[in-house]
Formats: sequence, structure tokens, C-alpha cells
Amino acid sequence: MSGKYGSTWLGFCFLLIASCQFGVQCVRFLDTSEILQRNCSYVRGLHANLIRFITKEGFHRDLEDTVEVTVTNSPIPMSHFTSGECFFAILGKFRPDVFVDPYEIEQNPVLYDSIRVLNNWTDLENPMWLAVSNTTVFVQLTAVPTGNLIATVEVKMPIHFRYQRPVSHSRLKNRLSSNRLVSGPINPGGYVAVNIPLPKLLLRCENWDLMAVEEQCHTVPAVCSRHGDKDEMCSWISVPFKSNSKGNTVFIPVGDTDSRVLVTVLTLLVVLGGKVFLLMTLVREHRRHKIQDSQPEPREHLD
Amino acid sequence: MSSILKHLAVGLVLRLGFLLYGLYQDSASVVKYTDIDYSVYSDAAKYVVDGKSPYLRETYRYTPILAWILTPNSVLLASYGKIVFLLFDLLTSYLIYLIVRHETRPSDIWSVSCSYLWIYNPLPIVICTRGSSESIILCIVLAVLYFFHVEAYVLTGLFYGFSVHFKPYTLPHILPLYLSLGPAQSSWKSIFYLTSSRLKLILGSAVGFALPTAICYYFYGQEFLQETYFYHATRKDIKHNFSLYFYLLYLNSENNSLFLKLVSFLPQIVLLSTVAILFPSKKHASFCIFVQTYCFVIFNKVCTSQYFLWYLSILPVLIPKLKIKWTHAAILLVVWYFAQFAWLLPAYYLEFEGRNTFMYVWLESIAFFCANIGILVQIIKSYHKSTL
Repeated sequence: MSGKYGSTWLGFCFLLIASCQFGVQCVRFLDTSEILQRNCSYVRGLHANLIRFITKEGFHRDLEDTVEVTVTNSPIPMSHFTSGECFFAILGKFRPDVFVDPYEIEQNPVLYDSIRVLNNWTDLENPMWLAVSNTTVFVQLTAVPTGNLIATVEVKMPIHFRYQRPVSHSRLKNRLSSNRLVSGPINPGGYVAVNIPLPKLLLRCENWDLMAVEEQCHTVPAVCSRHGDKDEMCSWISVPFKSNSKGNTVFIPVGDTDSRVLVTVLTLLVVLGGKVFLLMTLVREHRRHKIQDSQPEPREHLD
Repeated sequence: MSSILKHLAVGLVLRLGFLLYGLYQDSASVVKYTDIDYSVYSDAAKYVVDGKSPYLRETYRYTPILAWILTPNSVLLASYGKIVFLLFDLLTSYLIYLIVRHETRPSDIWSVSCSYLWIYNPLPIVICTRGSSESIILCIVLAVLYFFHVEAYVLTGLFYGFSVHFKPYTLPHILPLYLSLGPAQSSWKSIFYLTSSRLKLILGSAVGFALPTAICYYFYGQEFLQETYFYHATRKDIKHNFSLYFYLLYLNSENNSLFLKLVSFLPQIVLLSTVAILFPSKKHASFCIFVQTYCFVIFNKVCTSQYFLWYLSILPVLIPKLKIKWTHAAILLVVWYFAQFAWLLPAYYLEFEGRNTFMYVWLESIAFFCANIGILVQIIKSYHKSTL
């Protein structure tokens, strides 16, 4: 019996383990809010897509977000979006690698109209490993409903990358060549991968039954609107969405510690050489001026 | 006299034209004409108007007096500060004229010609109309030189003290000023002789520095000292800049090595004091301050293009004393600009294209450093205390 069914049991166990692993992977990819929102009637019928691009190159880039929501059999009537009673917002949290300059937002009327940096203080100068602030940004989206589709006006948010901790480029090259590092956060060309996590897509309607919403749905506290009071918080529904990416990865140049000794020694030698050359010139000119001083001066002052 | 006034009037029109163009570019283009620092000063001034500390504006690391001067920015006119800066820039031109005239009188040709170098120089015109406050400190330094030349030592001291309060980089200027006011028979002991001129200079300097500093401390306390002075002393800027130390500091950013701190600080100290000790004479004061400032900038751990104005503003005063052919001077100018552009290219690729050009930027910063050393050596060699 056992011999007859042994291989079957073994196959069954293998399948069980494999499916369990698959299940774990699936759950891992599902957002917690997505699981919680299954009972939320308010988001039922809202099929949201976040289209995100990072444009420009280098340390200063733009994060371009557009949201498209198809409304089918939603308990929220389309007219609520048309009238502006219901609206969407994005809540983005950045790691210390990236920051949004609140002063830059304030000075640009277009940005100021939709973006609000929620953290009280932003570290604008320090490199990644010394930065002490994480940026949290609230972006109020302007919806343009047509038929059963709500498209939001594209928001272009300037983001700035910090200097990364210098790394050894050769060590990474070796690890890559010996297949010990298939893909990692660092590119052998001297770049560090910085991930920009996806934001939360929020929905809020004026005059809705807050008790019912909070009972059914996973809510997120955030500022009520772009220009509202910073201390006045509102409950927003976190809307599950699909995106063109699972968070964008940007490669940022990083210094090479392999050249530390070369750079240090050569820099100090050049400084020393420059200093000695200047000192010698100054001393030589000082002597010349002394000789000049000891001789009569024909035309020092014309008067 | 009327000739210089005409040129100053033309200079004013020119600067106002640039200011208006800047307003147009700011409204029409994504690339703004106005310097980012201008918004820092303006925000700080706004905090002052609201009865708050200007240091609430992050990255505001200047004396509060600057924010006080610019308070009309938020209540009267956003470009008010730029107008103030361009007026200081014109005053700088006029001080160049006065200093050179004092040294070359009764001829007016040199003084007017030298002031042209500032009135019509596109670099300071653009910098002041973009809203950089550098024109104020340049004007103060030239006022120090002017009063020193006319032997008004109390005023020299007052302006010098205020210049240190405004921007501490002027601190080493006291050495040539002080040493050149010593007794006729100079020996190393003469350093300690307190002549009446030296006393006036010291007293003026003490008041010029202590009074505004005490007022600012009264209003903003430790925060003012930290942001205006201590920050600059302990600053460790690892982002790419013209200084040849930037890559060294970046790669060693995690080793808090005292050796590196000393090694980067010592050349400045040695050079700045050597110049003053070797040329302790009134007639060499402008030369000493010029060489000191040039050395300070090229050996500094941080160097941006605005720092170049610190020594460039003193150069026109020295022109009549430089025995140099025009072709030679033109070559030096080309070398200076070329070395800058050669640095800017990899720096642009690093910052705006995201290419790993750290090594090239560093090599170009070494090239720029060498070019500056070469230029400074040529200036020192061609300097004669009187070539007129």
C-alpha cells in the first residue's frame, strides 16, 4: 500500500508545499489595504490605475503621476466626482535617498496648488547616510470625469536625490563575475539603485457617513485638502490600484572607494605642490621688492 | 568726475535691464534666472516680518542684518533686494574708481578705466541681478581698502569689523592691515608695537564686529552664532564643487580624520600669513588682501563660482600696478575661463545627466586649481609697487 501510494503521497506533499509557497508569494504581493478593502463597498466598482514615470536624469528629476479610474457599478454616483464632492489624492512616503524641497513647491504656483509636504522639516543638504528626515507628500488630484472614466490631471513633482555612501566598485564587479551577485542594489558601473516606493491612492467624499466608512474600509488619516489646516485630519479610504511598475528604480552615481588612496594622496600632493610654488614665488618677489625699495623710485607718485 | 558718473548711470541702466530680463525669464521659462539664494533671503526676510527668526528658513546661514535689509521684499516689492544688490555693485565700481584715483592722481584715466572693469563686467552684473548678496560684502571690502588708503583708520576698522561680521572669510585681512601700520624700523618685535594707527584700527575693528554681532546675538542668541559662524567653520560639503578637496572629502566622509582636517586647513593659514608678513607695507595692502583672498578661495574646502568675485573685485585696484602685456593678460583670462568650462562639463553630466563622472570632475578640479595657481603666480610676478 505504502509502496503503491508512496509516490502519490510524495507528489501530493510536493504540490502542497509548492502551492503554499505560491500562496505566500501571492499574499506578499497583495497590499494589506487591498485585503482589507475587500469588504469596503465604497471602493467596489472603482478600478484604479496609477501611471508613474520618472523623467529627467541625474540628481534632480520629476515624478509624473496620473491616475485613471474606471467606475462600474460603484455605490458612489459619478455625479459626486463631477461635482467635486468626491476626490482623489496621493500620499507618498520617500526614503532618505530622496527628498522633495518644500520651498521649491511653495514658489511654484502650479505645484503649490496641488502638492503639500507634510513633514515639518526637510533636510535639504545632507547625504543619504546623514539625512534625518523622510519626506511625506500629499498630492491632491484634479479629476476630469468623462463617461465612466475619471482621469486625473498629471502631476509633475520635482524630486532630488541625495549623495550615496561611496562603495568599492571592483568588489561588486568580482561578485558579479563570480555569479555570487546576480542582481543587486548596485550596478558595477558605479551606480546605486534607489527605489521610489509606490504611494497610496486615497479617496474621500464630503458628507459621507464616516462611521459606516470606518467600519467597512481601511482608512488612512491625512490632511483634509491641499490648503486645509495641517492639524485637521480626515479619514481617507485607501483605494487598491494597479500600476505600470512596482516602484521605480533609479540609478544614481556613487563614488568609488577603490580610488580613495589615489585621490587622497594625489590631492594632498597637488595642494602641497601648489602651496610650495606660491610660497617660493612670494619669497622671490619679496626679495625683488626689497631690492627695488633700496633703489630710488623715479615715478612712484605723479603728484 | 562727471565721466565716471556717466558710466555709473550707464551701468545702472544696464543692470536694471538685466533685472527686467530676469523677471521676464522667471515668468516665461522653466529655467529660472533668479538665484536660489535669493528665495532663501526673501523667505528669511518674510519670517522677520512675521516677527520670527530668519533661521527658521533652512539653509539661511547669513547675518540677520541681511534679512532685515530685505524685509521690503515681502511687503513692498519682490525685486527690492535685487535693486539693493545692484546699487551695492555700482558702489563697488565707484570705490574701485576712488581707490585707483587716490593712487594715480591727478590722472583720471587709470581710475575710470579700472572702474570700467567692474561697471561693464558681465559676471558681477549677472550675479547681482540674479539676487546674490555678494555685492554687499565686496563693497564693504573695497570700502576697507579705500579708507585704509586715505588713512582713516577708525573707519577702516569699523568697515573691516563689519565685513567679518557679514562674511567671516575677510578675517585674515587684519594681518596685512595691522602689520603695515607698524613703525618705520620693522623687526619681528614691531608686531607688538601699538602705534596710534594700529590702535585706531583695532578699536574700530572691535566695535565694527562686536556691535552688530551683539545686536544679532541679543535677538537670536546661540542660533545666530551657530548658523552664521560655527556652521562655516565646521562645514563639510561633499557635493561636487570647484574645490579640489571635494572628492577626497566625499570618499573619506566616514573617517572623521583630524589629519585630513589639518592638512586641508594648514595651507590656507600658512599662505595667508606669509603674504602679510612678507609685504607689510601700506602700499602693498591691496596686493596682500588680493593674494590672501585668492589663496583662500582656491585652497578652500568649498568653492563655488560666487567665491570668484571675492578676489575679482580687488583685481581692478591692482591693474595699474601690474606690469603685464595685454596679450599675456588675455591668455591668463582664457586659461581661467577654459579651466572653469572644462570643470563644468563633467559636473553637468554628473548632476543633470546622472553619469558617473566623479573622477573627471575631480581631475578637472585639480586642473582648475593648477590653472589658478599659475594665474596667481603670474599676477604676483607682474606686480610692481608702482608701474605708473
